[in-house]
Amino acid sequence: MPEDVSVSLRPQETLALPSLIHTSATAQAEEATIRAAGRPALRPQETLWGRYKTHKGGVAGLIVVFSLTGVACLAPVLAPSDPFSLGDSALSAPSSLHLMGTDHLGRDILSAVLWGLRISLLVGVCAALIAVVLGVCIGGPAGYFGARLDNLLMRATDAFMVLPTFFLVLIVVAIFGGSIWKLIALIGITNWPPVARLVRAEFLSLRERDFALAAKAVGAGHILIMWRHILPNALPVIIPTLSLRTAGAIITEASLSFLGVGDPNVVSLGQMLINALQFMRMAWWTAMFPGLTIFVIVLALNLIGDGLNDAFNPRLKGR
Amino acid sequence: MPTLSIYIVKRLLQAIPLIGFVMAINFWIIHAAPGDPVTYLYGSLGEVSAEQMHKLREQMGLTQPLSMQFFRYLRQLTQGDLGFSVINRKPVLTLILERLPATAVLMSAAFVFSVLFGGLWGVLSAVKARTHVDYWVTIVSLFGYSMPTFWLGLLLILIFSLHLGWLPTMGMVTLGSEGTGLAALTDVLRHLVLPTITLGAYNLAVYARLLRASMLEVLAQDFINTARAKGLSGKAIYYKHALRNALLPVITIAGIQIGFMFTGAVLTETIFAWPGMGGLTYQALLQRDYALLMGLFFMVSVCVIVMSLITDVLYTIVDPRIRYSPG
Repeated sequence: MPEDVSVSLRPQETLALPSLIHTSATAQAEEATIRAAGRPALRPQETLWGRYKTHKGGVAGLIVVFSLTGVACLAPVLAPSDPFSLGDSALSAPSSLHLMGTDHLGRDILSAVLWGLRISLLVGVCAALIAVVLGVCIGGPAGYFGARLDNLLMRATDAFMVLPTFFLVLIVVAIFGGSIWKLIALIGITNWPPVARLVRAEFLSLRERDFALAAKAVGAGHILIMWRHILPNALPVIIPTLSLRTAGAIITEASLSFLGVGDPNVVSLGQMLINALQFMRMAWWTAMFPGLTIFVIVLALNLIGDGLNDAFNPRLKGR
Repeated sequence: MPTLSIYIVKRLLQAIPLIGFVMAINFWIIHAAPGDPVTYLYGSLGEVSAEQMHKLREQMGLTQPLSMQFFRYLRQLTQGDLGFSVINRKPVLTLILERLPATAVLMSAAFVFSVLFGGLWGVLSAVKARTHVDYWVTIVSLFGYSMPTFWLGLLLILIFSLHLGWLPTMGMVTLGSEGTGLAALTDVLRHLVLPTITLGAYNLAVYARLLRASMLEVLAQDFINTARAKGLSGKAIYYKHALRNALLPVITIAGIQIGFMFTGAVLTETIFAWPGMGGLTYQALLQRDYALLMGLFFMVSVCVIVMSLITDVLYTIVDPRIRYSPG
């Protein structure tokens, strides 16, 4: 029963060809002896976290992203005031009352930054997930099947990559209006091409590897091979991309709202900055804090991406 | 070089469906946008009756089947008719062409800036790999990589214009200045400094990172060892042998980055009130001038497609291997 065998294959097992010839009984016995003997302890540099820990920037990035996410989640509790409520002192400098000062309508900037951070992170993570899923769905089959399908899909990817997609999103949102979810969908849909190229290259090389050929030999279907065997092994290139795409999506959202295109019902860091442009001469803090927030979160996400890249692909480290 | 011209023709043929695709997107958005041109033009006047509006729609061909409308639209585009901006009372093409030179100046300046300094940065980093210099170069390019364009622009204005008072904050020329010749040129150059840095910074970081990686890869290859073995100096190896090969991936990325640069130009020109296509885009967004927006999208797409074509051809001149590969 070839299907039976292939279904029971786990990605780790597929890495070792001999496990295929075992009957399930001997395999079980073997597993039991290994379990009884206890696995030998791995040295720190052999575990993913052990390698990640050595990347100082990556660790710092992780700490920053975790704490900022925590702060963003707690924005309703932490924010000193409602970000939309107008205060009586417009453009007042940072003080103990308003830690980041107030804007031209007297709104507390710290509160707006906290709420804006929520939106940035929400848009960033969701849009990046959409982009990565689309990228895998398009790049995966292209690399796996090759030939005509590859040619067709990669031409489309290249075409999409060349087109000024930011401009397109700008126009679509400006004309048709954009709720936050529409914005997320649009940013996600326009950001898949680089992911698709990356995934395609990875699938192309993995499909020739022994474990993939072995799975094919025992009669596993294409979808099963891609899903159970190739995809898990391609994760080392996909996961760092997720972090980098999130950073990219956050910048895209901020750029859109900077140009006044976005959901008017939510606080956005980009929108705060375009307002600041007019009042910067008198109030530097209006431009400083929202921008700094975007910069710090993007920098942290990029550092995490770099750290993950090094941890997953130690041989390419320093490249 | 017959193979080169064949390659160019092939690439040109590939660009045609892409431009067709852009036209289709454009047509679809115009068609799906709320309100048709007639409502847009006369709807607010009140004295135009529904019957007259219907007549106008018939005259403008809006009652024809969609496919007919699409072909009419294609014919207009190929004749250079990008539509009419009711708000600005000018043809869209005229409006865009007025603004094209300023954007061309800004983008070329930013391109040269980013390639030159990104290149230097990257080579320095690769030559001094795993030293303090490399460490700092990497950190600075990571900062450049993470810096949102618009915030960098605001910071530069804060520091260099408002605080230090060295450079102007906005525009391309000083208003009311009557200088000619050298004085006028210096004036434009002074206005150009901050927008160039703002627009070029991200790409500078991209090129530096990329060039560092590709230099390290080339430096690990056998022919570099051969060059060392025959006694060539470090400089000759780095600049004559390694850099030439390491530049190849940078050219590919530069071609793709030009498209992204238009995005940066919109933001940069908005911040510095630069009188280019980006500033025009922002103006069109504020005025809700959809005809102008669509025209801009079309023009920018065509520019980007042409640019990527040029970089591809350049690539084959620099690296003849591409021409002979199938596909």
